[in-house]
Amino acid sequence: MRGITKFVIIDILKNRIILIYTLILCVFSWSIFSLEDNTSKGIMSLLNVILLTVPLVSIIFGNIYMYNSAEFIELLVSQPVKRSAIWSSLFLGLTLALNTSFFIGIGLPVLLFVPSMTGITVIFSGMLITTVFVSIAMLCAILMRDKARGIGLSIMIWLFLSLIYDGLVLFFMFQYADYPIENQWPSLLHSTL
Amino acid sequence: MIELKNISKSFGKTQALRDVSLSLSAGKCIGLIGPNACGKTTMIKSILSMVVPDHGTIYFNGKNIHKEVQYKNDIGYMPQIGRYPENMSIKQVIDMIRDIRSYSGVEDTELYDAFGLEHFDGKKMRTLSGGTTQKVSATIAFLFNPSVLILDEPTAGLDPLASEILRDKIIKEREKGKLILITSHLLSELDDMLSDIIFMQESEVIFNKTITALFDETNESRVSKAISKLLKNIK
Repeated sequence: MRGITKFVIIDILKNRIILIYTLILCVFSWSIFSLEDNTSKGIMSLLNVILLTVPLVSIIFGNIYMYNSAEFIELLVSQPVKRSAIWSSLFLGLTLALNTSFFIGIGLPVLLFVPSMTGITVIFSGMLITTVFVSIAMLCAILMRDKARGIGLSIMIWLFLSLIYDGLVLFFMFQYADYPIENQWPSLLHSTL
Repeated sequence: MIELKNISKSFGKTQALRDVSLSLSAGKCIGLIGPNACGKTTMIKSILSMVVPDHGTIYFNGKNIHKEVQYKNDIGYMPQIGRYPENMSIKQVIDMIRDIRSYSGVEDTELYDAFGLEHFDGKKMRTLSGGTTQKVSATIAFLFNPSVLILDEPTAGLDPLASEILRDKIIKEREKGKLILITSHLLSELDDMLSDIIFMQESEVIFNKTITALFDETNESRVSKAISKLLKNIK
């Protein structure tokens, strides 16, 4: 399984998109921290970037990568490898590669500028988001045989989770503002962000 | 060596295999023939557990292959259409499979040398022609000295010289007492290779005979003629 994971990671690194992704995240975080004197304000702006771009890249890249690995998977199933080993190697390869570039692009600058519990929480949640969205991407790739439908479904899921869901929460919050459970909503909203 | 018991498989509404039972023993060179879409490839894929049958069990050396993988170390498989990761080179693909198999014996590089693949070593799989891809598939199938060889349309797409090399190699491996399972539509090619013939039609095995029995029964000396004669009799 280690061998297959290694091949997956080398393959991902070779297509260079992951390097560009790292670079873009780097540019984001460095420019935000050097423009903003107040680091907690800076981390708030960075959080918005993380909440929108990181899931989008993870889900789209992961999804397309799974479709492109069809031949690779087909080659491996005829060899003495367990199916679960193939699948988990792909998952491990993708999450490791995307999390590493997240850590280099955002984690390191955050640790440099905001070396506090808040900074670590931001990094941790960003990595968790990456992992979760890679998992969703892989699920979409299994559910849909057709590539275009699979990618469409993953875009829909991204759209729902990063925009529509928040909108719904806000909508219900204002709708039910007159009711006493109102005090519960801000904390729920906070946890979704 | 390989035993199939009441294997059935359907893909949606199409039945690919209907209650197939077969016993394939070592030292034989079996030709699996039949019209298109009669379930040949599905049968091969279920032996490799690339397809999981709906019903029935398959035994390899007496062991149920369900959820097993180690038995595949003894099988060399050459697919009908080899699909490989596009941006890997021939060398990388072979190295990766070496890595997975962790085979400790001496590798059989005879085909690799005979096909002259070292000249293409660094070429990416997507740039290869269909024939060269077939050569890679054949090389990988024979590379680890497996005791069972499963060749799905081995000579389709190969040039005459290459298919001659492959034929010689198959005959050589047969002499070593390996079990060889070949599917092909080019019956004339199979003449001096086979020891047994399995004929499939509409997801079922119609007959399973040794080649001498087949010739005796039909008074023919060529596989293609014998089969067409036998099929007329059945009808």
